[in-house]
Amino acid sequence: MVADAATDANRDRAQSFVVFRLGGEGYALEVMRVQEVLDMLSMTEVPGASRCLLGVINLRGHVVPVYDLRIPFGLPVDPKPLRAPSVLIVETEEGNDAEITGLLVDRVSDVLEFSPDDVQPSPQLGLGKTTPFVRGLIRHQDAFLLVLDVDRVFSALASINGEGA
Amino acid sequence: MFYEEARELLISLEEGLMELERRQGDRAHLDKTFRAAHSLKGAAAMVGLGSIAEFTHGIEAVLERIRSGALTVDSDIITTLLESRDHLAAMVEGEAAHSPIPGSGDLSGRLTALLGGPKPPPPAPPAAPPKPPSEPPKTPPPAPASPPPAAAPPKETPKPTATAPTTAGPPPEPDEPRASAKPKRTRRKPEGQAEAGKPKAPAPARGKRQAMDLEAGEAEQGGAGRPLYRISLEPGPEVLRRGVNLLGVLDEIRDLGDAEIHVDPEAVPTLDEIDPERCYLSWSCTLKTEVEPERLDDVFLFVAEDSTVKIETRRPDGTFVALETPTLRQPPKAAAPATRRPVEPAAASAPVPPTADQAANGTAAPTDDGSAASTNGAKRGATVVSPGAPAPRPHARIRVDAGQLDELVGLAGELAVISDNLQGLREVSGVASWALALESLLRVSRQIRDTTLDLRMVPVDELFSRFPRVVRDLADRSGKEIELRISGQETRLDRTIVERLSDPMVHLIRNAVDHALETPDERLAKGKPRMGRITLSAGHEGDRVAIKVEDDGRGLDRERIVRKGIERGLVPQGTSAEDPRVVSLIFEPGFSTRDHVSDMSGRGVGLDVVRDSVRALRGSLAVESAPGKGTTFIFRLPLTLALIDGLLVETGGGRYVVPLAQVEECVALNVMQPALSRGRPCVSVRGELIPMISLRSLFRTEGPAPAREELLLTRHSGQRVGVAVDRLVGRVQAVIQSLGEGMHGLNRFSGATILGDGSVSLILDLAALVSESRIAENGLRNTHAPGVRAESIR
Repeated sequence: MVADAATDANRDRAQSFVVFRLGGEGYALEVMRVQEVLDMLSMTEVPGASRCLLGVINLRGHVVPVYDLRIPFGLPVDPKPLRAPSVLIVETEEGNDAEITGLLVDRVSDVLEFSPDDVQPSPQLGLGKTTPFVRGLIRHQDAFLLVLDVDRVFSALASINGEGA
Repeated sequence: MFYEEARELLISLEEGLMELERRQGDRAHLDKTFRAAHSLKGAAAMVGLGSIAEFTHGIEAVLERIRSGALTVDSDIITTLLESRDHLAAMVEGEAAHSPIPGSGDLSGRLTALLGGPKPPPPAPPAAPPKPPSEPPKTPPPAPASPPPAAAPPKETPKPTATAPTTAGPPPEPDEPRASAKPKRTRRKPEGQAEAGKPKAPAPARGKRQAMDLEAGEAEQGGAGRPLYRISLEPGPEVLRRGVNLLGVLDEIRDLGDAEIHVDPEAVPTLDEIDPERCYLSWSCTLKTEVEPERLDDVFLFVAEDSTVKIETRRPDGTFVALETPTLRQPPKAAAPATRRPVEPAAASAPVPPTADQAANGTAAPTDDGSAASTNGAKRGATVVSPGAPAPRPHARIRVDAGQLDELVGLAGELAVISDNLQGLREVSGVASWALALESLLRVSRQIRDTTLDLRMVPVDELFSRFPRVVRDLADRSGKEIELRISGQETRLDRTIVERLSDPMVHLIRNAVDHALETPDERLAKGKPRMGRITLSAGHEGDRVAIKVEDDGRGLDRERIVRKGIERGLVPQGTSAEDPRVVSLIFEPGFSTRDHVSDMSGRGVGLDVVRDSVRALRGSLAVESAPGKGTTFIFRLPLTLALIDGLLVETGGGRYVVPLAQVEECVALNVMQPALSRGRPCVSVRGELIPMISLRSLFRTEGPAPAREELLLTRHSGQRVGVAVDRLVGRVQAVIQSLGEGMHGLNRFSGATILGDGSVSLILDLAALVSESRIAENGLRNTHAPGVRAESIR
């Protein structure tokens, strides 16, 4: 056991995921990628930007863009949410500079641990517009959590912005 | 680490070579250049880059020969050395990119040719080195006129023994370098009398005595066996930490002749006290050799820095006298002078001979920079004159990671914002002690912000110093004679701006050389001096820095520009050549589509690119030109990119910052009747019809417009354009933040800033707005595509 620990540690070690809800679906994102969770702040709109860019916020002196994933994901936008949405502050690894970006989510519910074995490969079809952004499924409480591939999300957002102007 | 060092050494090597061409006799300079090459070789060898070390060795060897006076600097040699340097740079970059480039056989060959085959033969050091084949026809005949640059004045005087056989022997056949070296020596002897009148010359008596010593040495030594040196080497404690290879030094000494080396282990402490990184040993050697004392000196080039090196030479009477050499003389570090033997009069006068020497040369050739340069320039082409005296950088500098610096600037900005914010709170609460603390915070945060911003500032010299080389190469290629003047190089500017200004300036300089400056014959025919002049200058203009690129060439041909402008429909028929808009035509994209006979062909090629890159730096580019007299391009740039003066405006509830530099004036909009011209909204301001862009419609703002709007007047491609906003809020100082990779498509905003109340405000780029709305208008008119519009409506 001790001898195996080193080699198996990476594979077996349970990973923490931030579990959140977006447009009525459950998603999971590795906790390592999430810097923090904010309540919705006052936001500055960016006229002319693509619709999924909600605006920019001041995160302790840094200007951070906030995106609404429901639009690229084709999810319904709830015009009157019961509670204020949250913003996940996520680190992107575009190029050498680590940038941070905000993602608007309906509600962050949990931080849960799953072992890598819990993550099943996602089906090629059946997830609608989210298919390219999901890298696996986790079965949890009789439902599935979609594991988000944020790097793909960001590259998609960047290309949307390029057209948005 | 090696690459950084190598790049720096390559730069100083290049600068050194350029400078070497300019002021040939400057010994200290030559030494510096040599040392750059030598260090580079050492550094390359240390990291195992044998091919680079080997190739560098070729350059070093040529420099060494120049130092020893065996080779006279001329522009061909410099060209070869510069090309070798470039190849070396390519090799270094190749290694850095893990795709090594082999040494150039051609260049190595040329370097070897300069070396003239065999190494300087010891018995008659400077005698008759074979000349590079290309040299004799090009070098001007008056050999004594070209000051033998490296004839090492300081070294000659105090070495009675080494050169004795040469000087005493019968004059060999008058080969050129020989000829240039010879008169100097013969002239040196009567120096006591001949130079007595010169103010800087040594006291006549001393000069005479020195000469006599020399002769005495010659007489007794002549042929009587090889000179004997006694060398003692006490390495400094840090010498191993600096990476000096002491064994290599000893080997080098051994290579010079018959050496007997003794090690002195006295100082080695017991095992439990020993610091393995320290050197406790010292050595003493006796060396019989014919090599010149300089060579001896070179062995200790790097050791000498913190070590005590004593070289003594045996005098005819059997006593030993300390050898005074440049390397050893230079760093009089603490202990060094004390351990050295008390300086003899002859040695004491060592620093003087250069003056005498210069004076001696002065009789035959002008010695001051300018005229020396012109004799040289007449042959080759480019010279550099820098009236501001190339000030050696006065302050010690450290390398800082650019990212960290940016972060610090950001933090400083943040701090300023917080204190602004607290300042606002103070007005609410109004407790006195609070207020005081706040004021200090405010002051400190401002200071931090200013200092960190200052950190980003570098002198434009970092930019200008590249151009002597550029101009030299261009002059070489175009066959024109060009003098480059540089002034104001101490003006400081944001690092990023300095970096990004390089390409536009190279472009303008190339244009000036290729197109603006006439050939020497044309110039003479026009009554101008043969040598064209390009002036680079920098200076403050209000809160901006103006950088000028000036030539004294043909000037712009306004008639032709107007004709072409009318041809291309850029200006209305019948525009006069004197119209102020004419000059700005050269900045139109692709304006000069190369008209063969045109004087200014090429002038316009890419000027739009130059202008755009300057705009990207929030600067402007202006041009002034007088026919036949020349053209001046003036860059006007903000001091820094990190902070701008801005105007806070409001439209549809959103607040935006407009860089003040982009706004010419603001006028109220309700008094003027909007007019339409070709379907585009226009307003008339003091009788001038100005196209107008409404921020409200561009941003698709909902809600009614206020009764009174404000119009910001800006200039786009030389034309005035108005941008309407709801209202002006006030002036702000904005710390600019990038909007990040994700928003690159959005040109209309050049960044964002955080206002005092903590909210984020976007920074508008008026120029981009204007281009954008023009494209949009044209696009809509042509395609009638409403779908495009719907896409971006929220």
